[in-house]
Amino acid sequence: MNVFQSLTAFFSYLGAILTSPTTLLLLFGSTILGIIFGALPGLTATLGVALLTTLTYSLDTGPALVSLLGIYVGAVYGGSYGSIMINIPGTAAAAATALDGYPKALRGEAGVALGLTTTASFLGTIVGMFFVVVFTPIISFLALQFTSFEFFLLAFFGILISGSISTPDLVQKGWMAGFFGLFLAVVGRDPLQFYPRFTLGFPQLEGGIEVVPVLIGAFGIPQIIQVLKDRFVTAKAQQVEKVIPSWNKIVHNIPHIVRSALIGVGIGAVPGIGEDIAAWVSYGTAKNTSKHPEIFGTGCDEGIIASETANNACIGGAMIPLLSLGIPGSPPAAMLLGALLLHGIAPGPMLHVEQPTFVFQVSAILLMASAAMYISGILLAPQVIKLLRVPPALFMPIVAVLCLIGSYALGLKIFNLYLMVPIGIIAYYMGELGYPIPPLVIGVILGTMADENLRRALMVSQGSFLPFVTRPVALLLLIVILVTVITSTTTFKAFKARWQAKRVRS
Amino acid sequence: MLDKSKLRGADFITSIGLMAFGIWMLFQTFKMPMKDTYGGVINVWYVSPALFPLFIGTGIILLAINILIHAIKTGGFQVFKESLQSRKGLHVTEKGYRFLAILVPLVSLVYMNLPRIDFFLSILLFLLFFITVFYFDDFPFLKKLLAFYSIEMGILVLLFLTGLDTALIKAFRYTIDIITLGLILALYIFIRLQIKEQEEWHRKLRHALTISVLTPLFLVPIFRFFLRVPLPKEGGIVDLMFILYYAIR
Repeated sequence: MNVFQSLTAFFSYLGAILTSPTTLLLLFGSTILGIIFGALPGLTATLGVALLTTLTYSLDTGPALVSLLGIYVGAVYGGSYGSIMINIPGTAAAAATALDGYPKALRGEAGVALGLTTTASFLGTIVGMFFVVVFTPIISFLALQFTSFEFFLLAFFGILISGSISTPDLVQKGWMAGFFGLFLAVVGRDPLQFYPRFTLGFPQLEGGIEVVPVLIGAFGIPQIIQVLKDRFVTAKAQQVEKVIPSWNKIVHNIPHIVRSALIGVGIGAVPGIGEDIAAWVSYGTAKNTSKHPEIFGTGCDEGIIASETANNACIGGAMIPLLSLGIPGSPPAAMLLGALLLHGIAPGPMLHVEQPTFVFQVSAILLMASAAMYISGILLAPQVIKLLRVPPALFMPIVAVLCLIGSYALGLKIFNLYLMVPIGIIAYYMGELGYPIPPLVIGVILGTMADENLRRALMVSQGSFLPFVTRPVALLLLIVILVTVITSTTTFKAFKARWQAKRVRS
Repeated sequence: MLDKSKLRGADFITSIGLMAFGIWMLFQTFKMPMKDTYGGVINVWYVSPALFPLFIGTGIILLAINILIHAIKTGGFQVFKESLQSRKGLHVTEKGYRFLAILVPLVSLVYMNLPRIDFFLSILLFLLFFITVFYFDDFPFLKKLLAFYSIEMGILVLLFLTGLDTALIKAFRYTIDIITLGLILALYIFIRLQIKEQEEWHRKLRHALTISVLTPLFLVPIFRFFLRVPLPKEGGIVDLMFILYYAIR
């Protein structure tokens, strides 16, 4: 597609959304629902996308995508409400926002803080969307040159890097979570010879473990247990009359916005790394590069802008590997992948060949979702803030019911629920023991891809591993994997520390 | 997440568990066809269904060994040994009770009630307990209510395990629904008796009851009539909703 055709496709999708009252209603409804989901502590963007996947299952792909992206964008932004108003982040992505948002609200500037987050989130999403439009076709084109060798290594790299970055404790635990996800992915009849693997005699397992119930279980149940067991409390929210967009402050902070958006997109594009890491890295960078780092944490505008721009730009970043390689860039994007597969869309390099305008449809929806988020944020924030008073004990049980009915409804199998509960409990304990959940999910999603491509690659090479080092991209990926593994080992870290100490002494 | 010192103790035991899991995985993998014939197909090692599981199993074992070594080096074994020595009988903490109050209704709903009891009633019973037990936020109340709910679930377990439910359904189709309705009523009366004169708790009970009724009241029509999803078990109340739905249509 040339530039003119691409622009035509983009604007025709934009026009289609704008001229359809039903789609607009869906867009605003799902975005507001997303904001509420994000604002309420304990509910996350991933959970929002998961629950809406069930409800939009019977819709056509277009409206379903509008709803899912609407709730995704809304929830990532909505997390800032809790951070600013009660100092309890609605989502992990908004945790960094609390550092400066809450002190600002305590000074009686909650409206200004919310105005900054609304505008920064809006701009962040737009920048992310821009990168989706530009980079997805390029990466898709490059990926078309990939063979099974590269796809196996890419899947493996996705699991490794996700494990390395998202782990709260030892890096080995992140990788272990990824390997456990891979194990779940190989349960069932193998795709080449139909040999039943690890089915334990259950005929229901022969078709494999369905991805969406695993995702709902792994993200939903630990969240419910954590919130109710650890007694999440609500706090009295600060007063806010209206949200003030403060465009002049935004204009003054353009360099911060650009840098934060680039960080958000970059981190979003790394498989399995979510909006929370994007926000923290961006906040840290803003503080380290500031001429006045001492004002960070006291309610400064740069801090709020840095985290909120990055976490929303991360959405676009996460869509790039999802659409071009079929590898989700963040946990909500993993959920989105599950939803797309249910609608018969297989993201990956072939998507750009089979449905060349799909990426423009996604971009148009992202643009409209960010506009809906901005309008809803400016107009409805004071009303949504009132919901922060609702205790989690009232809504978490409903979320539990929605998780259950959602998992059941997708395949009409009660067996999905039988699997979902133990997976959820295991995921909860994994979290308690310092094993991250995103690599597990990435492992479940990429397991089949890795398995099929490894064997296909070896079939092509008649059992030779040589193409892994003779093909340039495969070699590059192999080197990156080795570097990731080596630099994560304790031996390397100890060596590095000794070397640095020696350099300081000399 | 646990704090670092406890974490290393937990790492010690979980890494052993994970190693055992990896060994089990390899044991199962070696049963898969490697280079022999399966289903008329002559295998070569690189198309064997065992290839990838072999890779995963080995990876799990290596990582588990790594975590175990790290745990031992950082005093994990000592922490684990001390935690075993300091354990005096079975003592359930408040957090433990709260965890049980999540697990008991969730497990009973999924593995017992949803496939056997009318969807509306299953959800109503689940929500009435689940909301009340945490919304009231009172530990002695939580313990009492959990005990009462567990007894109720015990009655249902007995009913289903003895096969009495089949006999009762044969006699009258909606017997199990009536029993469940009785259990819901009993749960409500039990809560009312516990809260006595406390106005705040009365208000909370009203909220809990309203949400418990409204949730399935919205969910059943959305899933059954709008999304056309057959519910796991459609009993008396869902049948009644069907009659109303077609009467209105």
